[in-house]
Amino acid sequence: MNTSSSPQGIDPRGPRFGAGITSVALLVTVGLGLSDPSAGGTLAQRAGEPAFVLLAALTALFAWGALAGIRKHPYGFLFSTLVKPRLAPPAFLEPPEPPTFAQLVGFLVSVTGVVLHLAGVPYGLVIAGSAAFIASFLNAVFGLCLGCELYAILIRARIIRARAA
Amino acid sequence: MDSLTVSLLLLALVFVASLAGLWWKGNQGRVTRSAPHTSPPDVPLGLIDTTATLTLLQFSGPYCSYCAAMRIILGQISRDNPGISHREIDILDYPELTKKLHVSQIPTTLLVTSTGHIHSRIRGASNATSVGHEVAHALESRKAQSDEYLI
Repeated sequence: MNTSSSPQGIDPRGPRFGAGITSVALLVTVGLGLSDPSAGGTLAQRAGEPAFVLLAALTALFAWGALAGIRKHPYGFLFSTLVKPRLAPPAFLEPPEPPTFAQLVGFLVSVTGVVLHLAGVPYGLVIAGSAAFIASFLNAVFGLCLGCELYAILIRARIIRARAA
Repeated sequence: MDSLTVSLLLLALVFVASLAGLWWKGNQGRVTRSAPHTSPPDVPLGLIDTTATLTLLQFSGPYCSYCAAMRIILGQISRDNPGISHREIDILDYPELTKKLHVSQIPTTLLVTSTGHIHSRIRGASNATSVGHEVAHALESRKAQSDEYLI
């Protein structure tokens, strides 16, 4: 009765590695955003702020992970070529769908920050960036993937249908 | 905002995230023991190995990555100890039992006696050492019970 294991799982350490990079980048984003959280100036000025540029790039990476799947994420590539060869084989594999869904959740949170900042909402970028930071930090440091948990809860509630294996 | 304030706020953010993570981690593998009783079995006997002293009944479900980790640990313990069996069920296949036994997270592992009574439950993922301790306690208390019966 192994419904919870897929034959072609991924190394669970891959998404955690990616979340580590993301959390550091998000902390920098929040720091840059906090030095001037007013979101003032013209639209072009706001779009040129370093914090905004960084969050926009991270949003694009989340979109990549959500659309192409976690296996085709650039960090996944980095992990499999640079990190994985130096590690022992994983104790277990996990299905790729939950971390892919988590990328979608990350995208939704960070794109909210992008939109709020462009709209000139003070602290919009900082708050969205902080929320995304907490989630990626929990994943990287503690192995708690909130987006994955949400995916499993939605599947169990049968709100979203699992792809036929 | 000056750089000192920014640094302090970033530290606070990392602190809050760490507290949340530690709280979650502390709740993983939490063990609760049930009071011994002689009422009807908690678990249908068909789901356990009645020839074993103890069945490690694991509740799993779809897309649960720590269920796989727990499966490895429990499988190893059952292989190392004669008299201990490992059974795994999917909560989607047993929604009523899951509700009746208040299984609120997966993986949840019940240590079930051969009579279908729950000795203890382990919520979330745990490690081999903690599970081993709990299994040893369950076996001891089973032994104590049967000694009492002999007297």
